[in-house]
Amino acid sequence: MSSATATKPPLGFRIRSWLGDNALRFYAVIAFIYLLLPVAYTFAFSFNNAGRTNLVWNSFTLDNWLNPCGAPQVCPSVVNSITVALIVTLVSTFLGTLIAFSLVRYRFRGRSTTNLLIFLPMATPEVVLGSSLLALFLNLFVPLGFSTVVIAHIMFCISFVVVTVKARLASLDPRLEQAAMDLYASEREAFRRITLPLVAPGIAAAGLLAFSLSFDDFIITNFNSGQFTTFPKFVYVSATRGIPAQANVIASAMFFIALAIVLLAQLSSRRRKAA
Amino acid sequence: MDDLTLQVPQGSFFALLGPSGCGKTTTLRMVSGLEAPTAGRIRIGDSDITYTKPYARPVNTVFQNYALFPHMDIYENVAFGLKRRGVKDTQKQVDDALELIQLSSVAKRKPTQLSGGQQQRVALARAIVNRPAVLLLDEPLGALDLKLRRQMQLELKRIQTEVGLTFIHVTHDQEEAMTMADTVAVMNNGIIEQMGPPTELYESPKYGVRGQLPRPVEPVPGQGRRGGWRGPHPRGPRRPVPDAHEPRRQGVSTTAGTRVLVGVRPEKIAITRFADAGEAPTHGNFVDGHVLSMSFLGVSTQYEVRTRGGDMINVFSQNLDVHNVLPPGTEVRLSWLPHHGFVLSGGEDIHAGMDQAS
Repeated sequence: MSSATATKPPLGFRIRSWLGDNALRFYAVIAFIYLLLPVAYTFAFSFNNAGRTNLVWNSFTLDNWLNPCGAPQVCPSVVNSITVALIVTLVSTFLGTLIAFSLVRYRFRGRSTTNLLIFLPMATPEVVLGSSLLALFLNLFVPLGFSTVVIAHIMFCISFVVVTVKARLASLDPRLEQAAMDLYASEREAFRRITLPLVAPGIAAAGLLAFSLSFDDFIITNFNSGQFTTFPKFVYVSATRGIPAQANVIASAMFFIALAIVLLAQLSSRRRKAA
Repeated sequence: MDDLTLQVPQGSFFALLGPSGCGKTTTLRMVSGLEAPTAGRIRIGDSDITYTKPYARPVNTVFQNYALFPHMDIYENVAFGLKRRGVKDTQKQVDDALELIQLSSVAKRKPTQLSGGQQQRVALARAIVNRPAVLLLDEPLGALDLKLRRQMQLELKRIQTEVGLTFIHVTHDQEEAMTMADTVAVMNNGIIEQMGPPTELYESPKYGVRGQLPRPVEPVPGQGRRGGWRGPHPRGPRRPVPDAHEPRRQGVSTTAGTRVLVGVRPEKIAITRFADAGEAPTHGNFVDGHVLSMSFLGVSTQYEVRTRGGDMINVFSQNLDVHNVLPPGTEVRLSWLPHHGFVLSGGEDIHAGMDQAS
């Protein structure tokens, strides 16, 4: 032992091993800066005492946070977006979960075709989806507005729900249900007590995904919304005149709400593991 | 699955032994109700359960991969069956079951926090707590390592004796079946080839109808002769076979000229240096050969011997004498008592079925 401590490894070796140990850390820091810089910028400028445009820093103020509905149209568009997203989440999660169950559990004619068709909306460029939907609505004389936006969002959200729930369901051992039935649970009870609780995290994840996809969508919405304004559309439209600082407040708030949800989920799953 | 008739006495430990794909798991799933037979009946006591739903049968299964519910703790897992049947006070019964498997301390843990052996015991408790008329075990020890498996074999036997339930145990491990079961049924290609207590199965195994050799058995091919058989070197003396009325004969004819196999368990063969063997015995079975390899196992020494007829024979020799180890190359004589041998029909390939079995 003493001889090992007496002779230090050569300098070159020590530098190399130090680099080897810390290179990943450098990389991680740079990657996170790259990812989070826009968020930090948005957050910082939500405190800007902006004049007509929120492009240059004037002075610090809390006014925007204290009065997030201060700018015209901001809050109505947020309410619109949330309403649409909630309806879309409920409908697409319900329908998508049913589709996922039938695709995983049953063997039927056209099953693999259905699998492929489900993937299609995810692979198709949104511009194409949005414009063809618009053409469809126009041909059917459907007035553009709230309902067309909801229909369009449900269409592309279902695919993501199906894929998410399917992944969870596929990893579920069918023998667990058999074991439940072996232990005197009827089909209905086995589903309620075993299958549903085990698939629930997948369904919840799919729901959150659908919500954020719907809330976030601009391209398809812009084609199919007519006079109806969602938050992304509001931001886009106002960009030509200058985005009000309140938009930064809403965006930052959404970011922190999302962050809080993720942290809560992590915390509760950790507590469940520790219990 | 072929025509299959099984009678399992109440309160017994019954093993279904066979290679994978022989239909033993299918049999089990029919009893548990997860699969329906195309024909035939399944009865427990006097009641016919052939088409009863799985959850309405007084049968519980210990699954091969345990199938513990991952979102419930151990207590909830064990209580699941009781609660579904509407038992109000589950506390006492669950506690008793956990005590039986000596895992009371982990009641509040999740299945993933337990070791494989512990999970196995929980799966057992979850089934036993319901006091089913029949408990089914589907290769329950397959996922455990050797040491744990041995331990659990004894444990399972202890628990079965303690609770007195009927156990039907499916396995491909002959040793496991023999260690635990009162009755072993050897299954192959959907039919029962032989059924009996472990000792009977071991001492006089049947040469399977489908040509599978029971293992470990050392077969020596030869020819029948009046009142006996002749070994691989036809000029040698006539050797006796078990008497015709013994089960080991199994009615195989040894009239002159028929091809036969004489099998013997490897631990029943005595091995001696050819130089010390002296005259060929007039009453007794023997083959001459030389040692090919030798491995010292502690309680015994295993020899691989090539006979002069060119066959390979394994011998387990108990280490009674430290100095008596025979190095490879030694000319030896293998001998055994006539009633230790059993006669198998020699018409079939002796290696048939061996690859299938593994």
